[in-house]
Amino acid sequence: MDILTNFPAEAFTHLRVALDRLLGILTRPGVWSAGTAPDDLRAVLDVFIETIGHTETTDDPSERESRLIIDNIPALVGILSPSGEVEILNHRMLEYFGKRLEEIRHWEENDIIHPEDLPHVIRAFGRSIESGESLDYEARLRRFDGAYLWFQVRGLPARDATGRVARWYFLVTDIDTLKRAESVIRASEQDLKLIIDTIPALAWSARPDGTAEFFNQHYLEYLGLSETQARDWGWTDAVHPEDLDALKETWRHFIGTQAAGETEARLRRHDGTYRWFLFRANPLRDSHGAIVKWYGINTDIEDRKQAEAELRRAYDSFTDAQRLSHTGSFITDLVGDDHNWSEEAYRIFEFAPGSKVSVQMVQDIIHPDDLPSFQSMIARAMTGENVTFDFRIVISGGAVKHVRGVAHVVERIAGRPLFIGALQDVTGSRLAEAALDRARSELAHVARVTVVSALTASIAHEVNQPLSGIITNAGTCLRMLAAEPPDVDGARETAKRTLRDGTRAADVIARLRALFSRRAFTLEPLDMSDVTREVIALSLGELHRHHIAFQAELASTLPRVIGDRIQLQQVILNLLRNALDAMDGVHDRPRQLLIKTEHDADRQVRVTVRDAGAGLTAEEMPKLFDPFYTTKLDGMGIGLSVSRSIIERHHGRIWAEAHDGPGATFAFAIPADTAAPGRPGDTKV
Amino acid sequence: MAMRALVSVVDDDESVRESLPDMLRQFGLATATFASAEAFLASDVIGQTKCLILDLRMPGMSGPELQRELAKRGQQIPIVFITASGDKAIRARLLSDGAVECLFKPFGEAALMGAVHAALGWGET
Repeated sequence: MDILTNFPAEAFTHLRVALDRLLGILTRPGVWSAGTAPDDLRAVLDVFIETIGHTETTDDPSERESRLIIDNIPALVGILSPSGEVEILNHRMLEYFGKRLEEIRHWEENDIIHPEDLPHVIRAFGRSIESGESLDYEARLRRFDGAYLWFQVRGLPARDATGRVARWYFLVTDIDTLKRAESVIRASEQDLKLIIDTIPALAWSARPDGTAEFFNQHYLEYLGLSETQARDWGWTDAVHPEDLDALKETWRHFIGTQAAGETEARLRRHDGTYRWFLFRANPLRDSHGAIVKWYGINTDIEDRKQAEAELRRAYDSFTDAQRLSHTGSFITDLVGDDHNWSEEAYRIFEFAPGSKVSVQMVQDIIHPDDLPSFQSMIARAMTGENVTFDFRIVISGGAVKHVRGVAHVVERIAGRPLFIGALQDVTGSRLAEAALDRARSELAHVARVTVVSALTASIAHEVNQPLSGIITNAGTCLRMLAAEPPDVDGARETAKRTLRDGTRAADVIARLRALFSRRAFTLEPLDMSDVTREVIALSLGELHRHHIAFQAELASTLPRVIGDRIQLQQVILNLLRNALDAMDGVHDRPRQLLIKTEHDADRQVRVTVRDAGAGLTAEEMPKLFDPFYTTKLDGMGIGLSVSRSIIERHHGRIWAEAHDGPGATFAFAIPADTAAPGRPGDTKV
Repeated sequence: MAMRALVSVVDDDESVRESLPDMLRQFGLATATFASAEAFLASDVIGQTKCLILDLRMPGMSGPELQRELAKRGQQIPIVFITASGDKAIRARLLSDGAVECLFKPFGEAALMGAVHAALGWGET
């Protein structure tokens, strides 16, 4: 401090007083935001005072030492004139700037103060110099190497006895590290705020008593509320009415037990829709373990909830579908004998639901006939082959169920194949199929025969009319001729009518024949044993009713005949009916009826009907197949003539023969492999 | 000779309408023929008819329907049904409904006259 050596003694006294007062001012409460004056400032001022005190009383070598001390204080110190001109700067200051005092004096024009800070420093400085009020600002000062560091600049006026500012004392402290730390903190605070506002969750904090304090941006946006509206308990307005009580209860429970936890509730979005959220809260404790704050995150689980509900619905309808279709599914580790069965699978097998299933359990109820194929299927599956299966199971009570299914390998676990499969109870459909088949063939059969018998009935009706007329007229004619005198005119009239009616009847027959010839002949290769079998099946009821001892000898391999199935069946039916009628009066011997099919050496297929009835006389034989020939009381005599017509159309012949014992035999033979039956006119009447 | 008893024949079939009356006349009966039940009902011989030979099935009103109509009118005329259909079971029902007889075409004169005499209450001839 070279300058100090030039001060007059009394000036030192003033200085010392001034510094005292300065220290008094500086240590007043409220001057410093930290509460007390910084230690370095006090140190400096103490040194000042001491040094000045020393210099005032002595002028000894220790003075130099004091100056050295001042120069080595780790602070930048400066003394300025009342008008603000730099007078003294300590060594450190000069070293820091790396400039001469003269350059520093022109600080308002050069760059020792950072250009960005310069304007406000000039303003603040100017205000202080003018007002005499202390100065405190932060600015970047240029170091000798060009780097700008942050400093806190404090300027304090020293007043003389009159109160005028005698000197300005400046203390410049390095706050660069602090400043950088501050900006890092600020940056990280900003980052943190960004994170908190960006995370896709509703973040919040609450006071230890549970009142909400903070909501992140997402939360407020979701609720559509302002922070003021949401805080404390305002946010609970957005909780679904059904969930509110439970949520409040749970929150109080967390606060009471002081333990972290989670719960679910619906929160109303700004647009009015409710969504499910998972509320999670964590307490923050101080060093004594007391909770100072609660932190929470609410995560949107609406989609998950919906997915759960859909899954449940899908599972339910899947189970329903399985039940409706009698389909069960299973996942099986066959080698490990570990099975996972669906409800329906248990139901089909009638095992207790949820019970442990094993291959042995299934095998135990397999129908004995299906056991070998079941076991070979299992063996194949063990090697990792995909399998299908079809077996019967015998369940309690002896009922038989038909099970069909498939199993595929989906992956291997430790080298063992894991199967996924489905099985179906097809008992119902099997039975239905069989019944349907039977019904279908019966229906076909009945349909055919119904047509035929309806046809026959209507023909009979039509012929009965003219026949009735013929008989009546003929009878009348005879009466008239037997009268006394004979009524010849009347007889003539009746005779004419008889002729006319006879013609009418002939017309009906002609129409009948035409009907047969015009009918589309449905030609197909026929096995006459099959054809006969169908007729028998239809007539079984009647045979039984008439107590017929029935026997059928149907050849198993017959050459095919080409013909009309329905018409040939009508012939067989006709022969059968005749045989039945012939045995109606038979009570003393078995009513034996034999139907036989066979083929001759010359490829003729023969059908024979033999009865044990009244039999035929020699006179009857030639007339049998004539139209209107009948031995029946109500017979029409049409059946055999029509039958002959049909057989002849098939290039065959029909005849009757006597045999040993009572009854008659009727037969017809048709050549095999013939082409289409003949056209009308070919056949003889 | 006393008034001959009137037998009315109702049948839509022409050959019946032609042949039956002649046969009946041979047996000393008077006859009237009608092609339909309606025609008979519209005629003036209902009261005089001592026996009605009636076809079962006819277009329009059937035989049994005529039978019911006559009963409703209080006309107790003995009826002999005739039919060309072969359904034997119907005879029992018709008889239980009050018919004297049901004959199946073609029938001989013996069967017919037996039925007519029974209807007229003449006993065996």
